[in-house]
Amino acid sequence: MSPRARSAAPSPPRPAPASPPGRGVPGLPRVPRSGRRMAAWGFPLVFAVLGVVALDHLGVGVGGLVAGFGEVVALLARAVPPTLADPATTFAHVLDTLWMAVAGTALATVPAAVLGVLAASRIRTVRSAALGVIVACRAVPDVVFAVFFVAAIGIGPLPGVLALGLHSVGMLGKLFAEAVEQADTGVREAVAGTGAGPAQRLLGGVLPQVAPSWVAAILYRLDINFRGSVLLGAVGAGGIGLDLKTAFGFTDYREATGVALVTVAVVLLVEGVSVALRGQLLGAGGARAVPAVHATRVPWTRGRFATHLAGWGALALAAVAFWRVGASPAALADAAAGSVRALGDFFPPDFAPVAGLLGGGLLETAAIALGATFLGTLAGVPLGLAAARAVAPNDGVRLGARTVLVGLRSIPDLLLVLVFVAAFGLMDGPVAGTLALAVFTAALVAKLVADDAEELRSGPREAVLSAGAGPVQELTVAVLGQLTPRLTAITLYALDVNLRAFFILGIVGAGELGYALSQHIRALNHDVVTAIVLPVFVLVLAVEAVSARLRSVLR
Amino acid sequence: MTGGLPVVETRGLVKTFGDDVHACASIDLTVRQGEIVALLGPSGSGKSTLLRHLNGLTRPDSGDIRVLGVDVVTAKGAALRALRRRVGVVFQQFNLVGRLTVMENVLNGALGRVRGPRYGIVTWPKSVRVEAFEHLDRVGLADRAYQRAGSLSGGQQQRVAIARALLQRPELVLADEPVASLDPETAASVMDLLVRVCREDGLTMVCTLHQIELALQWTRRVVGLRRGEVRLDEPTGALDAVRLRGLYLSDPVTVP
Ligand SMILES: Nc1ncnc2c1ncn2[C@@H]1O[C@H](COP(=O)(O)OP(=O)(O)O)[C@@H](O)[C@H]1O
Ligand SMILES: [Mg+2]
Repeated sequence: MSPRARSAAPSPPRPAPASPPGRGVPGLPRVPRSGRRMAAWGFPLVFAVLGVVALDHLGVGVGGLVAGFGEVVALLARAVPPTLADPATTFAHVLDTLWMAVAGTALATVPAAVLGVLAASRIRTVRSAALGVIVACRAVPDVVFAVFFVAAIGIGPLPGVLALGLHSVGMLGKLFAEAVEQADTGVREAVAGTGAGPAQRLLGGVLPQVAPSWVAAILYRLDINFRGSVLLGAVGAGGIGLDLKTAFGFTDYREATGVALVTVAVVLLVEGVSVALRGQLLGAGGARAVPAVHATRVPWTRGRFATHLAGWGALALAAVAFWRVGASPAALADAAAGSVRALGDFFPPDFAPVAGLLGGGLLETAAIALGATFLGTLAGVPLGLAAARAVAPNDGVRLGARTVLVGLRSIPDLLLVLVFVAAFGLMDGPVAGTLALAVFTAALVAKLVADDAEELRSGPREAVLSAGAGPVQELTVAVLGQLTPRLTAITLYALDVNLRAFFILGIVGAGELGYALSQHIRALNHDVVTAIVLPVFVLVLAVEAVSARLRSVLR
Repeated sequence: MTGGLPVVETRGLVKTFGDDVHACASIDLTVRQGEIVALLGPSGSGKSTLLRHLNGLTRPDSGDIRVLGVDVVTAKGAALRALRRRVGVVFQQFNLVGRLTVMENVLNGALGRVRGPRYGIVTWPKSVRVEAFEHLDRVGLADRAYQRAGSLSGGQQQRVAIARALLQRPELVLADEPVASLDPETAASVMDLLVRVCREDGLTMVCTLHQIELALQWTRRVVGLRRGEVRLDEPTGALDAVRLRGLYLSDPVTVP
C-alpha cells in the first residue's frame, strides 16, 4: 500500500477540483483513485483468479466435482439405515463431550474477563500486553493445543478441556474487550463522577453494561466448543469424536451415520439453547411492567428470579463439568508441570524428516484453503442472501434457505472431512479435503452473509425502489452495494478458517502435509510435529496480517 | 452577589483541543456558596468543557481551578475521588445503565462513600438503600424503584439521575444541559425539581443551558460564553432576551 493511497482512504470527500483543460471530459470530475477503490475492485478479481488456479492445481474440475458428489451419495447409500451398536455408550460419550465443552468454556471465562478488561485499558503497555496474549491464544488452533496437552498429560478429557479453554481465551477475550470499549462512556463518567474507585467503576459502570454481551459471547463460545470437542475426541480426548473416527476407520458407515445423527442432534440442541438464551439476553429486554413497589425490600420479579436461576445454575453446571472431566486444582497443577516438561519434546523443531515435503505441502495447503474458500463463497453468498428476511423474495425461499443453512452448519467439520475422505479415498485426500471444506465454508459464509443482510438499512433499498429500480437493480445497488465491504471481510475470514482447517485434515491424514502430520503425531515425534505446524502457522499469520490490512483499507 | 464563600474559582483556565479549537480561552469564574448559575452560550462555546474541568473529568492546559477548596488541577487518585464525591453531576443524556433497575442506578451515587465494589441491590447496606429510596421519593419515583431504568420516559430518567446525584450528598451540583433532551413541558418540571432541591438543601449549582428562556426563568445569574470566553456575567434581573441573543450572532469570521 503506497502512503498516498493510505492517506486517501480515510479523508472526507474533497470538493472535486475543476479539471484542467485538455484532460478528461470538461466539467466531469474524475473519480479519484484511492487504495480503497482499488482494494474494493481488486480483491474479488484476484481472489477469483487465485481460486481457479488453486482448484486447477489440485485437479478439481467440474467433471471431478460431479463425480465426487456422486461418490459421496454412493457412500451415503451404504450408510443407511443407521445403527447404534451400543446406544448407552454413545450417549455417555455425547455427555462426556458436552461436559468437556462446558468445562473448557468455563475455564476460559475468568482469564478472558481479566484480559478483556485489560485489553480495553487506556494504558498503552497494559493494552498491548493483554492483546498479545489474546491474539496468541486465538492464533493457535485448539487441535494443536490438544496434541500438546495429550503429549503433556496423556489421553483423556482433561487435555481436551485445557485445549478448548486456552483457545477460547482468545475469542472471549477479544469479544469481552470489544464490549468494554463499546460501553457507554457517559455512564462510566457518571459513575466516575460519584467519586468511585477503579474497582467500583468497573463493577458499577462497566460490568452491568457489558454483562449481556459477555454472557452471549460465552454461550456462543460454548456452542463452538461443543463442535470443537467432537473434533478433539479424534486426537485422544475421548468422547463422541473418537466413536466417529473409529466407525469410519472400520468402514462401518451405518454405525457412523448413527453416531453422526446423535452428534448432529446434540449440536442442534446446544445451538438452539444457546441462540434462545442469547435472544433473551440481547433482545429488547422486555419492558415488562413491574408492579409498583413501595419498599426497600427487593421484590422477586420474574426477571430477577430468572437471572438468579441462570447465574447459580451456570455455576453449578460448571462445577459438575469440572468434576466430570477431572479438572481438580491438583490435576491442573500437574498439567501445568507436565506442559513445561512437554515443551522440551516439541522444541526445538526437527525439520530434517519433512524438509523435502514442506514446500510442496505448504503450497498444497494454501491451494486447498483457497479453492475451498472460492467454491464455498460462490455457494454461500446466494444461500445467505436467500436466507435473509431483508432480501429473500418470499418466506418460502427464506425458510428453505434457512433450513439448508442450519442443516449444513450442524454437521461437525470432522464429520464432513471423514465423509469426503471416505468417499474419495486417502489418495485423493486434497480433493476430498477441498470439497469438505467448501461445504463447511458455504455454511459459514451463508450464515455470516445472512446475519449481515438482516441488518441492512432499509433506507437505501427504499430509495432505489422509489427511483423505479427493478429487483435485480435493487439487489446490485442497494444490497450488494451495502454488503461489499462485509463480503470481503467474510471471505478473508473464511480463508483464514480454512487454512487452520489444515490441522483437521491432518487428523484424518488428508493431503501430503496432513498425512505426514498424522503419522508423526502417532509416532510421538513431537519435534517433527512442531516442524510441520510452525510453517503452517506462519502462513496463517501472514494471511491474517494481509486480511487485517485489507479490512482496514475497506472500512 | 452574595458574600458566601467561593465554591468554584477558576483563574486563567485555558483548554485547547488540537491546534485551533479554543474550548476555554482564559476563563475566570467565581461561584459562591448557594448560588445557582446558568452557563449560557451557543453550541461549541465551551460550556461542557468548562463544566468537565470542575470535577476533573478534563484537565486544563493551564490555569488554576479550585472547587470546594480543593485544587482540582493537581488532585488525583483518592483526593480527586474525595472531591468528586462532593460534586453531583447531572448529564444531558442521563447516563443511566438502562438495563439495571432504577434503584441500582441511584445506589451508584453512594459508591464514593462505601468501600469495595458492589453488584446488585442486596450488596448495599440497608441504610444506604433506605436513603436512596428517600431520594427516589423526593423526585417522585418511589414506586418505580425496581423497574428497569431504560423503560422510563426521558423526564423520569433525568429524575433518577438527579436522585443519584443527591445520594452523593453533594455540596455542588454540575448540570450539563439537563433538559436539552426533553420536551418543553417535561423540561420545565425537571428544571423546577433541580432548582428546588438545590434551594432547599442550600446546594450550589452550575447549570449549562443553551436556551435563553430557561436561563432567565430558573436562575439568578447568567454567565454567557462565546468561543471559550466569558462575554457576559450578570444577575438575571438586569438582562433581557434581546441582549442575550448577542451571544448567538455569528461572527464575521465563521468557524469552519
Ligand atoms: N474531547 C474533545 N476533543 C476535541 N474537541 C473537543 C472535545 N471536547 C470539546 N471539543 C471542542 O471544544 C469546543 C467546545 O465544546 P463544548 O465544551 O462541548 O461546547 P458546548 O458544550 O458549549 O456546546 C467545540 O468546538 C468542541 O468541538
Ligand atoms: Mg455541551
